[in-house]
Formats: sequence, structure tokens, C-alpha cells
Amino acid sequence: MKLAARNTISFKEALNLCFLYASNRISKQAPAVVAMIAYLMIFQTLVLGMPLSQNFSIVVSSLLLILGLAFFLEGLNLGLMPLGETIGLRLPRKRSLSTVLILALVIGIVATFAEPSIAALKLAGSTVAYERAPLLYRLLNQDAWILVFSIALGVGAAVVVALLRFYRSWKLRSILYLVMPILISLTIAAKLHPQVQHLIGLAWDSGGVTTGPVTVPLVLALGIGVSRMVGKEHNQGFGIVTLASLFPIGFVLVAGFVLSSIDPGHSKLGLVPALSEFFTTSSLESASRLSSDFGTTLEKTLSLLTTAIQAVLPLCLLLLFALKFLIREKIKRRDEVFFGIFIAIIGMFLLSIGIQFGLSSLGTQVGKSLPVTWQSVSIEENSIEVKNFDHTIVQHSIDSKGTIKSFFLLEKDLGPQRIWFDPASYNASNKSYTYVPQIGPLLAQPWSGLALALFVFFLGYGATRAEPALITMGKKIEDLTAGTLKSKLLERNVAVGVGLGLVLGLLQNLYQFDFVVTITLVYAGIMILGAFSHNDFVDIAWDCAGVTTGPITVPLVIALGLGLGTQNDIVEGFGMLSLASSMPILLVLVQGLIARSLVRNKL
Amino acid sequence: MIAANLKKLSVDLSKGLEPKLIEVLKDFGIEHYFYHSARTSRLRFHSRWYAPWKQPWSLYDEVASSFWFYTNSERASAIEQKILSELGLEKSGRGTLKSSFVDVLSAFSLDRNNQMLSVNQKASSKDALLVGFSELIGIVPRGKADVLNRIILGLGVCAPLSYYGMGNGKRDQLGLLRITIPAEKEMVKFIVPTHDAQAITKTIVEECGFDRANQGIIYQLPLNKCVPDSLIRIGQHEHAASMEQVINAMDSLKGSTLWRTRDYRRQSKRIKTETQICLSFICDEGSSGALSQVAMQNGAPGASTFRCGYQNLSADPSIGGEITKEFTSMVVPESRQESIVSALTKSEYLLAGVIVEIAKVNSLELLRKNRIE
Repeated sequence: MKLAARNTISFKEALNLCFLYASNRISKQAPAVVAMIAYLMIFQTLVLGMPLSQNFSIVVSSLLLILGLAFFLEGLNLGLMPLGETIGLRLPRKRSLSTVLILALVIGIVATFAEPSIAALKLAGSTVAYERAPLLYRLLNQDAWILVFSIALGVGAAVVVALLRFYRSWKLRSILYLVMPILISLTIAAKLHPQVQHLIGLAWDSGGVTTGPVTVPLVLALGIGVSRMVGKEHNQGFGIVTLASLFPIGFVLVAGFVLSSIDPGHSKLGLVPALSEFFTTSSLESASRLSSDFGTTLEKTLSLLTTAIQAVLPLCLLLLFALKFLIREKIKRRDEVFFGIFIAIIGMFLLSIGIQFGLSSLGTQVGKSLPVTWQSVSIEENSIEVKNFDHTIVQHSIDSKGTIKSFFLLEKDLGPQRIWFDPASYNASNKSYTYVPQIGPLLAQPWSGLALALFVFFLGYGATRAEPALITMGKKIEDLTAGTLKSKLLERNVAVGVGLGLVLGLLQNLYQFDFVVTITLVYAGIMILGAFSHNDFVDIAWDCAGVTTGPITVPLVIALGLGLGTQNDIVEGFGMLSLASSMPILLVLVQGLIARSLVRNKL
Repeated sequence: MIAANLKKLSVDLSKGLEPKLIEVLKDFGIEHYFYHSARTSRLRFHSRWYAPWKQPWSLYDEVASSFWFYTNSERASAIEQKILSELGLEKSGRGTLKSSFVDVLSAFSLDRNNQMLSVNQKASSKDALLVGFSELIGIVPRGKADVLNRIILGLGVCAPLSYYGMGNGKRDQLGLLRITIPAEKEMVKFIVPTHDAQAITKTIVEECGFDRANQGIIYQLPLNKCVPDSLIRIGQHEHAASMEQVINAMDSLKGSTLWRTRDYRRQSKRIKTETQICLSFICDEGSSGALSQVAMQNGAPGASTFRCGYQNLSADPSIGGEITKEFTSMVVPESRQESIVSALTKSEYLLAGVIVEIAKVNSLELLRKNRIE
């Protein structure tokens, strides 16, 4: 007897439900984004006193960013993650271990090719000059395919090892104690190599950058599924993101050594010119193309839509293929899954527009203005051309040492203003004088350094709070710990960690600390703390590190790094991202140790 | 299917005590047991000199695990005593032990008749477990459990155990529009003295608004014996012993909770009680949705599911005896029990290894007016 007939609700009720659903999802994302944008705008205009251009575009893009985040996260929850989890659960039951591992390898490689984040590395290395670091230049330009393949293989191998870990019940800690010394040794060896040493920052950043907003939730869901199916211990599916962040470091450094030994002269043409040509016209160019003035807004928008589809669809198709042909099962709640994939693409598209035209543009402006805190900066966009400049209005002044300075009075809104006269700005042919206003230094040392550190900290904190992969991961961790580890608390701790990591990166950038020493010390601290921590916390802490460097944080950090790097005449601006992802591990481990000591005291 | 009246022994304990419990279970030859992660909530004292406007008591969550297994009544006492002594559950803050009678329909025998009991363990003559308790189970939308936990702790009942689950109900019949109604639920379990249960339920219904649509339900299951976790507050104490320790000592001395009295005169609402049963089934992961639909087509108003682990010690160690299952429970009118159980057992989704558990519900706050779950 069927008692439960299909529920019917009126159109008005349905609309009401949809409105509540949408408003709930949007209102969850709005605070983090609004706070981030407002913070950057206030800092640029009120603190630095610099002009802000493209205001309307930034505001509209921010709204799109909020919508994009809401759509994307809902798409992940409805479509991508259940799909990944189903495959993780079913595949080990139906297929042999070797099939599972082959699929894992393919997923890792496809994820790297699909995610647009690698383009960010290219953008970060846009200031690299061939003459100063030929190997790095080649890996970012002509031999970019080697970089992409190394990272893809690294991620693929990481997914394989992580799944094998669930089958064999290996502890993540044991793998880390094996992998980290290898990575540190490779880094030290690279440091001693005249060319490969320039790759160190790139290699360490590549790991974090490649684990993007689509890959992370998908592989996490896959891992949770597999671990639930085959895990012999209380394995919870964590660790894939960690290994996917670490393995590419080694693979990129090894690629550097190999490339250096094959072609010690580092020809500017690249190792295989045909491949170089293909890759310079492919997606890898998207970052630089988007950052330049190339193309109209429509072209850029279409390019972002392609990138969004490219980021989501190949991975989903691969998983659907696995479900259909390897597992031979129908998708449960098919309508929900397809709707989820669709809104994830829409979300990714809106998110990319919001980042490209809003957050990134704002970040670049702030990044360029930052040096005003410790040095004087010219504001080109506020320059004034004085026509028919009459030399007789130039007056002179003398100080106690006898130094003569020239100036004239320029009529402005608030009355005449004294302007120092620079003969180089006078154009005798058309009798015009170009006045470029200057601003700064706003603060003397050490206050400028402190102000900068505070800015960078809150920048990292704010950007991380809006990271979609972290939000997804936080919710998963909350689920798996039955709410003991609240997602909000975890997000906050990770965000504080990223903030501190960026401050460390800033200090390293400003005071030119040795990156190898800094990263070795940080990871040594992490390993020591890890030795005293519970396995679950080690897994969670390390995975959090991988998700911090996502689509919101990366453009801002890159803009910041480029701004600082240009001022400090640094060969390359890499390294900041890896430091930003390392500090959250420390903080989450400390959080775990505190929680553990409280329980121990009680028992 | 084997039908039996068995004793269900549940142990909710701090994560650190898990290995000890597993050892005890192995000693007694308990080959099949289930478990899931949960959190135990307590109130933690903060001096907060830097923020005097904030409340000094905050909710503190502790990682916990909930284990349960089925055994025959004769062996239950000895196992209870052993768990109690090995895990030190008399000391508050370490965990809860509960035993109740349930009817179990299972595809396999859940209790091996081994001889270990006579060799190693003999039931102690003095039973340290308390009688006269019931278990209240509240199911609320996700994110609302902390409100309920605060009320429970404020009432000084015991430390509640919370965990996540999913609701299956009318939302599944709405097509794609179902995504607009959150299916995520939080379950909260806590132990109360039976004579206080009605009054405590009333208080919770009023405070949590269970009398409004979609706010949640609460129901009461009888317990045979139990040891509640009465550590409600942690942190600084003003006296040599906390109030919870005093209550514990009194309960132990009196052997029951009947000496406790509470003033509920302010409450006016009447609780609507019906003759209900709590019907639960444990099935392979991914099958609960279809089985819930079968139950709902036969009169179940809705179901709540949570994921749990299943350990089968008799399985081949090379394959691994630990797999994930889904535990679904539904409160249904007693008159519908037969048709639902019959439909479930005939269902094509019912695979080998499914366990159907039936327990009587003492009272139920069933306020499902306009409820879409």
C-alpha cells in the first residue's frame, strides 16, 4: 500500500523555498568577501591616500564574486563531492587495486591540466629576466610544458600514494617523515646548483598552487570514499591534498636538475621548440594574456567561461566515465548531481570574473601602492600638465647649508600649492610642464615595516576566509569529527596561519632572508610538533595547508609579491605562497595539542 | 532472518578510551559491533577578566565515540560490569554505559555462544549500574544541536552526545526542489531519570520550539540500566566537590534517582503521547535511502540516518572486517510495525547483513504539523 504520494506544493511556496535557499547560501559568503574588498579599498584610499580606479567595476565584480562563491560551493556539495565519494566507495568493491590506482593517476594528471591555477605561477614569474635566471625563465616560458608535466606527474603520483595509504593503513605521519627529508635535501642540493637554485621558490609554490578549488574537494571526496571502504584503521580520507602539495615540489626540482644536465647552456629556444610553441598558445598563456591589456572585456569574459568549463568538466566527465564503465552503476540522485555540476561551472565562471575584474584589479592597485609606506612613489595617473608654463614664476629658496631649491606655486582647488621645480619635467618645445604628484614615505622605519606586516596579515586572513576549498574542507572536517572541530574555528585558525605565513614571507622578501633556511626551519618546527600530535590532527593540519592557496589568495599574494619584488629588485617573487601555506599547519597542530591536553587532564 | 529479544549495550566514551573497550569486547568474544564518531558537550568555565560582559560558561566539545553491540541477557551483566570497571565509567567524564532490551531481526547471529564468560568473567554480585533512567533522543536541523545541548546542560541532566545525520522524508518527494530543504540533521542523545523525563521533555519542547513546524522532534526510549556521564561543568570549582559529584554519590548510595525532585510548576503545555515504536535498521552504505522510501511507503512518517562503522571480528583479517554501514531510525505507530517490517524484509534493497532493531518508545513529542523533513 503506497501511503506517501508525491508531495505537491504551490508555486508561491516553491518560490519562497527557493528564495530562502538562495538567500541563505549567498548571505553565508557575503561577509568574507565584503570585508575583504572593503578592507583593501579603505587601505588604498584612507591609509595609503592613493587614488582608486575602476571603482564601479570593482563593486560589480565583488557582487559577482559573492554569487560565484555561493554557486560554486553549492555545486561542489550537490554534484562534484557526492560523485567523487560514490566512486571512492564503489570502485574498491568492484575493481582491483591496480585499476583504482591507474584511475587515481589519471585523475591527478587531468586535475592539474584542467585547473587554471598553474597559470598563476606564470604570472608570478612575469618579472623573471632570462639573463638573471635562464633555467627559471625557460621553465616559465619556452619549457613550460616540462613544468606542467612535472607538476601533473607529481599530483598524479601523490593521489596514487595517498590511496595506497588507505589500502595499506600507512600513517600520513610516516610518509611525511620520509618525504620531507627528501624534499629538504633536494632543496639544499638545488641551492648549491647555480641555475636550479632559482627554481626553489617556484617548486615550493607549485605544490600549493596546483591544488585548486575543484581538485581539492574532488580528491578529498574520493579519498574519503575509498578510506571508508577499505580503511582498516580509523582513516578518514585525509592526506591526498597534503601529498598533492608536496610531491610536485620534488618533481619540479628533479625536472630542473635533469633539464640543467641535458642542456647546460639553457638555450632561449627551449628543449623542444614545437612543444614550446604549443604551450605558449595554450591555456598557460591565459594568465599573462588576461593580465595584459590584450583583448576586449568580452574576449576576456569568454576566455574565463572557457577556463571555468575546462576546470570543472574534464574531471567530472572522467568520474562519470569511471562510474559508467568501470563501476557500471547508475548515478543516484542524477538530477541533483548534474544540476550541481552545472551550477559549479556557473559559479566558477562568476568567481573568475569577480576575481579578474574585482579582487585582482584591486589587489594589483594596492600592491603597487604599498611601497608608499616606506618610500616616495609617483602617482602617474594624477599627473597635471601645465600649458604655457612661464619660467618667470619659478622662485628659489636657500637652506642653512646654502643649497638652493626651485619651486613655483600651482593653483589647485584649495588654493596655491608649492611645487618643487624639476627642469626635466619641462618640455621646451611646447612650453609645458608636467607635474607628477608624489606621495610617501608615510612612515619612518620601523613603523612602516610594522604597518606593512599588519596589512599583509589581515590580507592573508581575509582572503583565506573566503577560499572555497577551505570552506568545503572545513565542512568535511566538521562532519568527520562529529562537530568537535567546528569549521568556523578551523577556518579562523587556518586564516591566522596564512596571515602569519604572509608576514614571514614579507620579512623574507624585505630583508632577503635565505628562503631555504626559512622553509627548513618552519617545516622542522612542524615535524617536531607533529611528533607529539594525534594522527587525526596531523592529517587535518597538513591538508589544511594545501587548501589555503586558492583562487582568492593567490592573485592577491602574487600582486603583493610583484609589488614588493619590483621595488626590491628581486630575481623572482616566489616563495611567499609556500610560506603562507606552511604556517596554518603549525597553528592547527597547536590547536590539536591544546585540545588533547584538555582531554588528558580531564581523564 | 533470526528474530530475538536481545540486550543492546551502548557505550559512549572519550576517544582515548576506545582501545580499552575494544580489548574488553574481544575478551568477551563480541564479534560484531558498531561505532560512530560523536561529540560530548560540557560547560567550561572561563574567568574572562578581559571580557566581563561575556558569559563565564561556554560550550566545550570533546571528541567521543559511540559503540554498541547486541548480546543475550545472561551475558550482558558480566559484560556491563567488566566495561564499567575496565573503563572506570563510575568516574564522571569518562563515558556512558547503557543497556536496553530490543527485538532484533538479523540475517546472522549477533552473539557467539563462546565459553569465555565462564572462564574469564563472572557477573559480579553487586550491580553498580543504575536503574530508573530513560534515554531522550532529540533530532534537530544541523547547527541547532548546541542550543539543545545548552538547555540540557543548564538543566543539569548529564553530558549530551551529539552527532550528524541526514533526514529522509517528504523532501525526497519534491523533485529537484528538495535541494532547497536541508536534509542535514543533528542527533542529540542524553540520559534522564525516568520520573523526570516528561518534565524535561516539556522544558526542551518549549525552549527549542519543537511545537513549531520543522524545528525537530524528541522521543524517549526506556533503558534497562545505565551509568550516565554526569560531568557537566569543567574548569574551576569553588568547592571541594562539584555538584555533579555530589549527585553521583547520592545516586550510588540510594541506588536510584528517585530521591531527586524538580520543580516544573511553571510549565503548562500538555505533551501529546502516542503508542509508538522506534524501528531502526542497519544496512550497507548507500542503501538506506531506498529502504527509508520503502518504510515511508508503508506508513513511516520520516527517517533519520547516520553513518556508522561496523566491525566484524570473525571476518577474514586479510580482507578487513571494518566497513561503513548506515543506521536509520524512525519512530512509527505500533500499528504500522508489522507492515513496515514485512515490507523491509521483502525489499530488494535488503542485503545480507541487515539488522532491524525494534524498541518501544515511552513517549514522543510528535508535532509534525506541516513538517517537511
